[in-house]
Amino acid sequence: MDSKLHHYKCGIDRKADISDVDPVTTQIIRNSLNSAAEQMKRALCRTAMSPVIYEVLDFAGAIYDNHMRLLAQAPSLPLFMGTLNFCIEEAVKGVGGEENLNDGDIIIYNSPYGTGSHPQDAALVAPVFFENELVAYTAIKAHWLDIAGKEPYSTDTVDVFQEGTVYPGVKLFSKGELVDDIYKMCIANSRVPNSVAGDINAQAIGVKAGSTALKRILSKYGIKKFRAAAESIFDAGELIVKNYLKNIPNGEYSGSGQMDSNGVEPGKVPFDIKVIIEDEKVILDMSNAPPQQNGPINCPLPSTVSTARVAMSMLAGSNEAPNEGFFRPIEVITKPGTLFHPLSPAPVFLYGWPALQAMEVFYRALGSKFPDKVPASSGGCINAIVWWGIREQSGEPWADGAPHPVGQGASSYGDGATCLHHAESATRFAPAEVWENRNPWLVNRVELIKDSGGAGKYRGGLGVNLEFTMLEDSYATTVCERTLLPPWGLNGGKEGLANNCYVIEDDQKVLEKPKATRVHVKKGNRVLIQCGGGGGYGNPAERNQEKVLDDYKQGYISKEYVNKFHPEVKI
Amino acid sequence: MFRVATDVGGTFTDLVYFEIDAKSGKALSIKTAKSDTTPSSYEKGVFDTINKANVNIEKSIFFAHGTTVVINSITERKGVRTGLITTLGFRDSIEIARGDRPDFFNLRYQKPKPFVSRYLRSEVPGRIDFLGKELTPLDLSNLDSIIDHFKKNNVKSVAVCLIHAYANSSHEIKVVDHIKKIWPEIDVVASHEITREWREYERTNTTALCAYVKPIARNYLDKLNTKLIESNFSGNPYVMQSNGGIDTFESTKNIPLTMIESGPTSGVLGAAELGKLINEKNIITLDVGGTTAKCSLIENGNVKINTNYWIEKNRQSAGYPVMLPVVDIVEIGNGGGSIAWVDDYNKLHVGPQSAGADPGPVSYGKGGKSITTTDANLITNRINQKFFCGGEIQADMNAVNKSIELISSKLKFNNSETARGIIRIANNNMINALKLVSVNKGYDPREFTLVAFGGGGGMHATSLAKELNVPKVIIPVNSSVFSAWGMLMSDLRRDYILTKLTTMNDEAVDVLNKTFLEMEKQAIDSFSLENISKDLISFKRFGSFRYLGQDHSVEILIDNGNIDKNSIQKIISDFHNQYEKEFTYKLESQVDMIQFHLVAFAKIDKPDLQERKKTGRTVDKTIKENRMVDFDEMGIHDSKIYDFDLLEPDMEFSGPAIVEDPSTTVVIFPDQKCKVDNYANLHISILGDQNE
Repeated sequence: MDSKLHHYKCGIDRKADISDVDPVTTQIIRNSLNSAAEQMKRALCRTAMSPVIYEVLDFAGAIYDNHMRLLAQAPSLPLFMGTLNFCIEEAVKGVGGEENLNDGDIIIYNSPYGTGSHPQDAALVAPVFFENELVAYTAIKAHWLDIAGKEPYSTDTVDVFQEGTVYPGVKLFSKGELVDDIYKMCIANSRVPNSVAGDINAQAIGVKAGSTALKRILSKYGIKKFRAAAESIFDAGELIVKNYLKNIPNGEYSGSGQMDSNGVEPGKVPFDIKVIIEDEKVILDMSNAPPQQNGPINCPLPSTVSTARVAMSMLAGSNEAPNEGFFRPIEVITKPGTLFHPLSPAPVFLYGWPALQAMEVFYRALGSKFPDKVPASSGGCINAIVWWGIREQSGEPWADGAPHPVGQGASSYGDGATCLHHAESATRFAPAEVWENRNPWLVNRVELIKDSGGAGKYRGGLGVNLEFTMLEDSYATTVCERTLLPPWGLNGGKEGLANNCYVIEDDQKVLEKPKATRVHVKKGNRVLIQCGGGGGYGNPAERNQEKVLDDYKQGYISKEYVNKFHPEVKI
Repeated sequence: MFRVATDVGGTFTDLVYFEIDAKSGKALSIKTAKSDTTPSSYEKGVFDTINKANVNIEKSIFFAHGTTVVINSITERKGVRTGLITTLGFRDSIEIARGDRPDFFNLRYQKPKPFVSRYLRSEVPGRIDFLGKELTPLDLSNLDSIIDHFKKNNVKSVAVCLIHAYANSSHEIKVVDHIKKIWPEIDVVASHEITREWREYERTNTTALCAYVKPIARNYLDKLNTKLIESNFSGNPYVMQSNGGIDTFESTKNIPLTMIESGPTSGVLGAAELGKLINEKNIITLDVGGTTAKCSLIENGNVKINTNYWIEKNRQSAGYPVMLPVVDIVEIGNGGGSIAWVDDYNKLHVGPQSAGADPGPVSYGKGGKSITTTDANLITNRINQKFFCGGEIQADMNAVNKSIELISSKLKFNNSETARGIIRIANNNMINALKLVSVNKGYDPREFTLVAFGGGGGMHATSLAKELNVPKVIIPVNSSVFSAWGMLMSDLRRDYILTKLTTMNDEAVDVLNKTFLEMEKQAIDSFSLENISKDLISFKRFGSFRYLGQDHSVEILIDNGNIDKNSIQKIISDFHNQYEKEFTYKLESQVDMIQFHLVAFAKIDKPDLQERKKTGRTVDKTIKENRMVDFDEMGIHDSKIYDFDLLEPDMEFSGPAIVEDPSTTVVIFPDQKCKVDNYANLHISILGDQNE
């Protein structure tokens, strides 16, 4: 291999003898670990201040062993999940290594090249001690509404220093005591200090809840059985992914994707991905990527690795939450200094968008040879919008933001689903009634878009139009990708409708603003987010005619759509 | 005289009744009867049990009824064709739902299909804001054509849910009035009649579900009422509700969705009533049936209510929200009939699949091949192999040993180890559910008593309590029909909920006084329509509070009577304390009230319970036999087997022991002590697992 390339693998590294524990105890330890991770999530969600945490679930909480191997994670943001081991590793380095850790410490860490995220995604890491020995870590990485930076949300940063304050691994709690200096720094460096104060508290409560639950398990079963069970849990996880991989013949499969622009310069940014299947192992080769960009669409290595982990976990499709074992057969090749392995100080604010693209291109690569094993493209984005302003009456600053779901790609198993997130599985759509109470806007409509699903034997899921009227002056940053590359169909299926975002001024002037920072939306003006549909699967002529008629009756498709894609159906 | 409760279940219709001494008003005896449920007309099964038990319905003064008619119509998709009317721009809310995918890594996930198809969802212009202010007047010009469209498409029931109708219902009322005027025979339900809580998807879905079942539930209650009248029943009949109270037929027919969890809640209510009787205020309930285990928590005598209730929600599906006050129950797929299985990765699981009643556990000898928790309990000798199902069935242990061998060989266990493993996994599942209602909400189990009932409650409760550090387990007498007993002990209960964001400062005084008084008036008016006297009515006020900006709230009990500045300060400090209890910290932040919750009770006469007589029998005389019982980590012990029916007040004995009657097995571990109370309930003291 080219010596300039970086080859990431976690490999198999057994630290205990599985025969020290019986399978029933292992199963109970597994359930208890999952329940402990779930308790972290509940504690966080119930105490968090920002909807971005409790509704959008823009966080991941997990438990790792002292070798930083994933034991259990709570259902939360999948893309974060595969990055937490990197966060823990860097956080511990930041405070000077394991020997500087004490019971009751909580480290805060958000350096983008170590977390894989933008600085807003801050990790809290708590070492867990049992009988005076470091045995595990609990960690939560969560999105803070604002952590300083040039804007609350940006699509046009040119280096990482414009993106937010960096906490390079410092103790927020030391031996159980809050380190007030650091805490004050966190609060001072935010446009919405109350939110951040509440969310830090919630995050700390979350990691503590995990530690407490974990200590209960340890005191019940002892460290020896606990460690043996962990090995056995990893082995079972590894088998789940290998069982999927063994059905795909060895070979190299390629796919291509593109970013609409890098955020600061015009022009598409295309990239290629190679998926190499080699004896129940999968290598994701991302090294043939364009050089790191001047705008913030660079995806740091931890998120690139996480992309591969999430994509494989979804394909393997077990209904179990992944653990370290799932990751063993997955390797990632990158080239430092490129889009998928940027080096400091490359801007990374929109890292999540190339990561999500890469996931679907991964499927596209496999789909080129095995269309029945993967879905067609989804709407392909999370169509995020972040809003802020100063409230007219109170003079208080406000900020809010949310991703918006898209139609899903059809597959050999059936039609794509309507309005879901592809990878942000847990994210919930905010109720208009709660939203209007919180923010100065009216929701005019939340409406399925007719004809937005790609035609096929199985139809792509429909997208949705969301329209707001602003009741006060405000600013918005929009991030809708894939406006130029509509959702592809698979195996003869047709394209779905692409995403977009518009600002409508004075009821007449329509401005296209899919990726823009600090757009001034004046009082009375409207914003329309067009969330795309999914691609179709298979030849439309093969679609069951009754389904075509029902789609028409329900208003999912128009007469023109029927005539164009299903001319044999008379309506 | 009789007081009668009937409970229609999936397989059987149960009847429980008290015979009341007319002079003293005391309950002379409690008796039960069972017959097959008759799905084509449930009321027939109800009268079958009444006749079978020889209950003289003419002489009955009370009739309470629990029924699955609503939940069955929903789960079997046998409701009526429903039309939906929403605010312009929101007809797809019910289909878009919340957009989450609980089956995280499933790319082929399909959303639950809405109960109203898109072509039967229509919109009307007109807009209210979150303060209840009208922004755009209601425009009914297209309503006639919507009604025509519904008629043409054979719609049998209509749901109306408009944006912010919780804050201002006037648009909904106008839409309903118009529909009733030009289409008087149709069933209509508007969201504000069900709940005045925000979140449009949840409220729309709830309204649609209510409309979907309304004609069916109404017909059923009418038929049952007619049969009662024909039988010369002269008292008031009542229906068990999801909020842990009963209500009249009339009130239930308007919003029949309130019956959705009619069955499971009565057990929780029973535990609360039992608690009053024997002075236990803090209770965790555990109801272990054939296919599920259900837990709930009672704090200071109050049954916990939750309006964030979902049906068909599980790890594979987002399910459907029901925004109604439902007793806060956590239910898991683990009961006596739950099947043990080993997956491809050699992991042992128990449930959620169940062997049901047919073929049932392997030991029934009806051809079941899958080992269940019941079979494992037979192998450990906890359940009596010779007195299986009260001696009605000969436990087929040959078949059990043959079937369990398949699991043992995969796990490389002997059969006893496998049986213990199955029980441990089942217990672990139940422990996690019990933690969800207790530890995870900030409650310390050491301050609670575990009341266990249902067929399998006594079998598992003692080991669960040990792990959970609950100091005492109570197994009620007649524990297998405990749920129906709960119905006989119930008052009328109506819950009124209103979302109204109110900052807790001096200005809140007027808002709270005015709002609670309005809600109380609404309750009194609704009871008086049914001639229920004002003297019988009592209220409990609750408020949901949060720190500014938070989503999740904490419910606080608010004192009745006039609210002044001091009461506001007391509420705020109660909130800080309760918040700290649940979340271990509190904030120096503004406190908002987001929801008003008024519970209105109308008192119903209840009989005094009869205590079990003392005959002077000694405890030795209640021992049926001795057998070797496997207590897992505590070893195999020669254990005394006590006859539940012979136990008398003040008897005491220690484990290792089993207490059994034809439908119940209670396992008492070697380090546990059991005491019988005046009503013959068992009180078992538990030594905890951990020292915390």
